[in-house]
Amino acid sequence: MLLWEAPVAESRQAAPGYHELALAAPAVALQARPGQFLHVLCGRPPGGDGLDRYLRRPLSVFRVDRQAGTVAVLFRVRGEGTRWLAARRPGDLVSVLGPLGRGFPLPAGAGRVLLVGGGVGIPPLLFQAGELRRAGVPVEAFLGARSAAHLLAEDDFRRLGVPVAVATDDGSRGHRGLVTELVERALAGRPGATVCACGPLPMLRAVQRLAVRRNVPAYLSVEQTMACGVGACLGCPVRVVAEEVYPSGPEPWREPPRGGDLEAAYRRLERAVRGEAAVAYRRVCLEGPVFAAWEVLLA
Amino acid sequence: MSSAGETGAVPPAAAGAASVDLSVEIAGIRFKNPVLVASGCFAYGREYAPFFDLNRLGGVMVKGVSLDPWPGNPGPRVAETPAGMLNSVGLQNPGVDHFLREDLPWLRQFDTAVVVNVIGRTVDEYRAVAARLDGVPGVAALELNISCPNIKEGGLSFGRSPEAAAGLVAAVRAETRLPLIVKLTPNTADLAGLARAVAAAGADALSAVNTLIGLAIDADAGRPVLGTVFGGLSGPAIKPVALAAVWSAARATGLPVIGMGGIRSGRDAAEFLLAGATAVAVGTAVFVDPLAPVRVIEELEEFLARKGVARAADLVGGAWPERRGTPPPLAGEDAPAGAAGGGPRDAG
Repeated sequence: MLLWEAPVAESRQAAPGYHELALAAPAVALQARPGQFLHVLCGRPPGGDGLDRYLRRPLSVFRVDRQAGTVAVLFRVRGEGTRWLAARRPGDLVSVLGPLGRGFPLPAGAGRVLLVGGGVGIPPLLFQAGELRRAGVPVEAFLGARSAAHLLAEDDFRRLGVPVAVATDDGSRGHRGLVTELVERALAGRPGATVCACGPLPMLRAVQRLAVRRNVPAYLSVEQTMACGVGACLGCPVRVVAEEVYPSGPEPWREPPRGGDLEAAYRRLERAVRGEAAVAYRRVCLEGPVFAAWEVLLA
Repeated sequence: MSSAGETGAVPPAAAGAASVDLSVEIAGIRFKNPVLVASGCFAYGREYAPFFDLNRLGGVMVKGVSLDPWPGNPGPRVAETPAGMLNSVGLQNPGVDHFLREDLPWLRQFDTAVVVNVIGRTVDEYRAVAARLDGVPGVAALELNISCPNIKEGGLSFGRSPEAAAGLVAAVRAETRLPLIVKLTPNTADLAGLARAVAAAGADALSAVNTLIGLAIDADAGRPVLGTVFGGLSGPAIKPVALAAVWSAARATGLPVIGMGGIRSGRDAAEFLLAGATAVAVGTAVFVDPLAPVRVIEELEEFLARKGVARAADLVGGAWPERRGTPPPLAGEDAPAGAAGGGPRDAG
């Protein structure tokens, strides 16, 4: 079952303009994997009560507490829908669909994992960081934001014992510049890593370019407007290299190609970008939101 | 702190509702209840089977099926708008062979009427799909989609011109013995005229309406939200337009009409029946609440029981002036007199 009316367990402002909402939903907490999302109704269940916030909002899982049976999302308060959500108080019911989508793989025996997050793309990486730590995989986090005030979850990563490097556009915290510049340095110093990234499109493009150049496997969580969230409406497609594609639906991740195989996969991606290899559409809600860097054509 | 409850369990309908006969008949097909799911909003059913028992549905109007696979449009394909959404999916579908091999056999396990939405770029493509589906067990009817605003060829280019629409309907009519439901566009100056033209060409029923052409602009980015610029508007925003289309189409032709456009409650469904629809389809509301179709069925049943209406079919056209027994229609109302295909079936 994927549809729940979950009571709010905790509601708090995470930073000015950002809100964390924890829901009491034990089954969701047990099932959710890092990178998956909840499709949240911004109105009273069952059908909503606000026509200016009619569709559900896909929000990545930020953290789960399996003991307490809670699952939390962290979002930017931006419009009518997210304002409504941010105004929920403990005990209020929120309708959620989920957990949905194919999340990040948990690379095992593949060396360290670099987590690269930008802005509101950071939340799913905290969940991934926790799961990787539990699995004993070495993790480093690279977090980017407009300014120190917009930087999310830095302390949460540090509490997990994850080394954190920060970049801000205005230099108000950490490196002044792009977070991907920090990642580039890290890869140059010590090659051999897997990258998991979530953030704005320009950041994802930069991560993908970097992954191609350094020939490292990367996984990119793609944001796309969606309607149904369950694969029915075909409203949230991205283009992928057609040859790369498993038929349809959320398949478990295979071990990523390495070395020459990975290089060949990236060459094929470049051919597809140039229009020289076939592309197909895949649904962000079902076959994503996480796609392999060697398969997805970013807009 | 209590925790999340599954919302799959819907309370049983109110006592007494069991006496209401929800079944309706359209072009010889019996629907166990007048609530279907609209084409394009339910794929081929699989995605919603985890949420509720598809046997509950009066029918499933499957996503448009074309002769060969269609890739669909570049994204973004959806945009939220006030009281609804725009889409420009572009009729992405895996083609009729795939439908017959993978989707129809799966859907047939359910006791619900399967209406296949047929799309094409040319008259020949429509005809070929109709011919492939003729006589296939498990297909209850065809819904001819001549009203999708999201593809350059086919679709709307037929649906806007009464002559082109009639020609297409006649051509498809010759390929199939299945009941033919023609889906009308609201993006036309004369919906009643269009309805009359397709009725005269052999349509057995009509469905109304497809989406309205719309545009969303991202003011920050300074460009259209959708990759294709224009999209089709659906959701509660279009309900009044859809009700008017149902009213006009039913009165202009006397054909049974399946009404759709912004339905999200049993009361909405009742409004469509009162406007002249024999059945309704739930569309965009499914995206918001996957249980919406079941809720609409139950709420409609309760509504009918509360009003003392014994049969859903008795409500059809109940808001028409001649059925209300109240003052004559206002001047300027679209008059049914002389309509091709005869007057309303039960207007007397």
